[in-house]
Amino acid sequence: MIEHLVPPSVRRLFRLGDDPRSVASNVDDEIAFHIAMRVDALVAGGMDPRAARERAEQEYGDLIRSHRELVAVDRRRLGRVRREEILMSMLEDLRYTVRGLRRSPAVMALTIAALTVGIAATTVMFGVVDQLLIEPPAGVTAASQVHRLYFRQKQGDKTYTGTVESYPLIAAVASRVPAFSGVSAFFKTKATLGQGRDASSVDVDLVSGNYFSLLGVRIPLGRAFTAADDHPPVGSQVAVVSDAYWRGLGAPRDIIGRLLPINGKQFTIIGVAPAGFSGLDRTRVDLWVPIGALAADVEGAEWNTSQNAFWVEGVARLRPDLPAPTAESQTTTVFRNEMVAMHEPWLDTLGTVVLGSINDTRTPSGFSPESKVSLWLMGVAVVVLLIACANVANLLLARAVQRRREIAVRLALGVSRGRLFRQLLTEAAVLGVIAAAAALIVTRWLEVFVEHVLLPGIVWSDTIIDRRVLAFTVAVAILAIVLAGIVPAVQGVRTDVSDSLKESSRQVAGSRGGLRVALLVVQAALSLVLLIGAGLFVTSLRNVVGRNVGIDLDHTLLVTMDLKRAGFSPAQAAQAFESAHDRAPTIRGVRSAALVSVTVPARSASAVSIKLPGGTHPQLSGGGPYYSGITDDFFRTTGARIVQGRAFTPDEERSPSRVMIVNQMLADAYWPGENPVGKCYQLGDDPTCTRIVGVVQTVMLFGLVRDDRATLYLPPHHPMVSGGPEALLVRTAGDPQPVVRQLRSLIQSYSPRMPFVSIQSYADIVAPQLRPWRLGASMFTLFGAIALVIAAVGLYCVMAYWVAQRTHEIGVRIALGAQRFDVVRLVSWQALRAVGVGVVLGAAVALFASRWLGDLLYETSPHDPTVYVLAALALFLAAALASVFPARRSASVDPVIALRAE
Amino acid sequence: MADDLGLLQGTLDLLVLKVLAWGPLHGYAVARWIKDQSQDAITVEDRALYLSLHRLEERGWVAAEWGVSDSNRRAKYYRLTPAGRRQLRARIAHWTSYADAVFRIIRAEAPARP
Repeated sequence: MIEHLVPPSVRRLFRLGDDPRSVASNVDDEIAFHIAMRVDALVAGGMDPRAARERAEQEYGDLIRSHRELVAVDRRRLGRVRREEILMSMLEDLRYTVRGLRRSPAVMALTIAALTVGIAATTVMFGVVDQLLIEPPAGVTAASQVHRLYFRQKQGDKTYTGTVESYPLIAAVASRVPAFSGVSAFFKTKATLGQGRDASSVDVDLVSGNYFSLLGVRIPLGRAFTAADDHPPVGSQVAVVSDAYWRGLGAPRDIIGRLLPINGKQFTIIGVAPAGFSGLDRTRVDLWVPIGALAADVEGAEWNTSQNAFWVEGVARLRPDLPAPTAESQTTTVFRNEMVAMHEPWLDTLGTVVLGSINDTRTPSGFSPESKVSLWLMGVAVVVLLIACANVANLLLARAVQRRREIAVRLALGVSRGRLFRQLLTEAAVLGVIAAAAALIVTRWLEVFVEHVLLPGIVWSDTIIDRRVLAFTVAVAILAIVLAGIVPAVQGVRTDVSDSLKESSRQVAGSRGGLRVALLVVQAALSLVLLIGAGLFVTSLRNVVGRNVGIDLDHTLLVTMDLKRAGFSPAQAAQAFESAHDRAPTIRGVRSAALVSVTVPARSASAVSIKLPGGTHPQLSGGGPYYSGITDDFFRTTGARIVQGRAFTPDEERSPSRVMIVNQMLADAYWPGENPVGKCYQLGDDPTCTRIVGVVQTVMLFGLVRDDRATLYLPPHHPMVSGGPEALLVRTAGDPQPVVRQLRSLIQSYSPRMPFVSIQSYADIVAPQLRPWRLGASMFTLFGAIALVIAAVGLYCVMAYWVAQRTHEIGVRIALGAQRFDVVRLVSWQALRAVGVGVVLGAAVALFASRWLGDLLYETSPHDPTVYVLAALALFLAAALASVFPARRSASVDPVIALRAE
Repeated sequence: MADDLGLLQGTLDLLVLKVLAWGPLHGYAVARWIKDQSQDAITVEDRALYLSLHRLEERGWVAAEWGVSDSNRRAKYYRLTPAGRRQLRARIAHWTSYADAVFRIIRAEAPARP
């Protein structure tokens, strides 16, 4: 018996015996032997063989049961032995791997760093996308039943889908749609807290009484609103404060019952919202109040009956047993009936209602720009990860080739290929595990960067790394290990024993080269795609930021104050504004200031008609024409250029003169190819005509791009201008931030009754609009740069290894008379050829893929040749840098040493 | 006649370990030893004995190897491992002190009543 001769340790080494299938037959044999021995003994004592057998079996006991028991015990024992063996071999692999890794620490560190960045980037972008698109707002229970109401209507030949409607409509849906268990109106606004010099601004959500119960948001301290708090047109003066606001006050337990002076009224705090809950839009909310308590301040006394005021949004919870289409058709019926009842000929009475996601990033007409860019960036992060995986694979391949002889020897000694495969995969696993652990730390930093620098307007839940994201990281790491480790491991195991043992080490390099060059090509191609993406976004951002919108965004401040709400009469309010207008330029750093009424950039818009001869009006995209009343220093303050004619004179400003300035867009639409200066038209119901004295460049109204509006400007005392100044615009010479505080205290000190004075720079106002481009440009650039570095490191490793493998060949070449330059060229050529193929491939992919980037770009062709050429140059430069050191080393090969090394 | 002594599993383990302390034996031989030494006072089912042997093997107190018996049959031989030897010493010490205690009690004189 061979098993008997071979000690267990050797048997284990060569994996002999111990087959679990033999357990049962061994037990069989053992029992049979026992019975046979007993029968022999009994027969020898003179017993009949048959009786002896019966006796032996009787003495033994239940044979079948015994067999079962013994097999179970043995299987258990063998299983444990096997597990211990596997654990031991894994520990052995691990020791071996760590020893190997420590031999080339720099390369390992770089490879792990690359993998770390790849995993971290993928994790963060997954976290962001998860938060933006998948996770419902924190605190909402059974969020899949909660829907935003989207109203879809035709205006002219265009269909608009939006959430903003009149309060009576939302109220009608709430009372007449049986498919909803509840409907709540909500509106986000700013209110003044306190009065006079100390007045400050708070973000307030005006909500229906059922808001918290509808969303299922539990109030941990105090109570939520009830239907009794909400009885339009009034509401109880009570407030629920946000957790962040409460903590800002020092988290007092006795906050319930405290009073808050909001817009001059006393509100009682009745509750604190749960941590993380920040309304449905995930923007900052300081407190919630019943809609009736403040709606009149925002929309006037008619707020709950006016069908023409579009301001609130609706959120509804579906009854659990009803499908969304039923609710949609019921709501659509209510919507159409309401539209018909309004008797407005221009209203589309065949609109529909769509139940949208509770997340405002997923609208019925598609994803928000931020989430679209985030999705792109998640793809980009995956590409970075792939590039990093290619690096790891390349490295492991190089090591597998180096160790070909060693592997062949082990195979010849009888080590199983499966065991060897496991060992080769262990290397990848160790790299992957270290990288995944490091990635968790890097993720924190990257997360903070993305949240606070790139997407600052969103209130994120405490951390985006929750269990799901963690599971994702682990999955990504495993995927990376498998991707990076499987090919080298398969290659390693496929080693042919006799060939490998016969050939000398320097002959080995060639055959595996193909795969590694292919990996280099893929890396180069992917890096180029990212660089092109970065280039396109940077160009777009530059085009957007560099656009002259008629307002010097970085140096212009918008000053607004709600004087009417603070109890000022219209005349007193006008006086307060005029005083601010007069005194603002006395502050150091203020260049000029202007008062604006009616239509204020980034704030409000009202339209007026121009009576053109013939009565036909060209269609204006964006509506209008809008009109503003302005003081004569308005254009000087915003920085807008007068294209034709002139600005208002001080005389025109002081008197009710009938003069106007039209913007370029209006001029182009109404008087194409003509100079409108000098023409005189009736405005609205003013019987006397108003003369055009100038044409000014189109000044931004709401949107930074793709949102130009036809506008005309009138002097402040023109008969069509009513209501007094709405805002003060202030232009500063330098950084406006130091001016803001002085300006506020100067204006607020005007009277002890003054409300909070809001001062925002236009740069801050438009920042959210720039966010998709900023996000795209910075993250694409960051990821592109990382990809470039990773690819360069990979190239360096491969070239260094290539040179090391060919020392002998290079030595021969030099001995035969090759010049050092020829050798350098040979090496560099290898690198540049791979990169060149990668560039062609990458450019093709980019040309194809960037088509879908089109609507995220601004005045940038997705096929911009400059971007493509620059990206390719950057890649070639990186490749040249990465191959220069190996090439120099190859040139310094001493032929004598190289040949003697054999 | 099976299990008429109601032998405890722990006691059977102890006997098996003790028998194996003299040298490697196959299961049949272990069974005979126990019967002969106890002069047939201890009669257990062979099934229980084999279960004991395999469990001791699972715990690593005995090791088993296949060999050839005197009658030229393939047989499984058990021998004590060093851990098994330690176990045997510990169990003997424990059993002896336990048995002493039991004997002291059953042989005691009636206590003097106060």
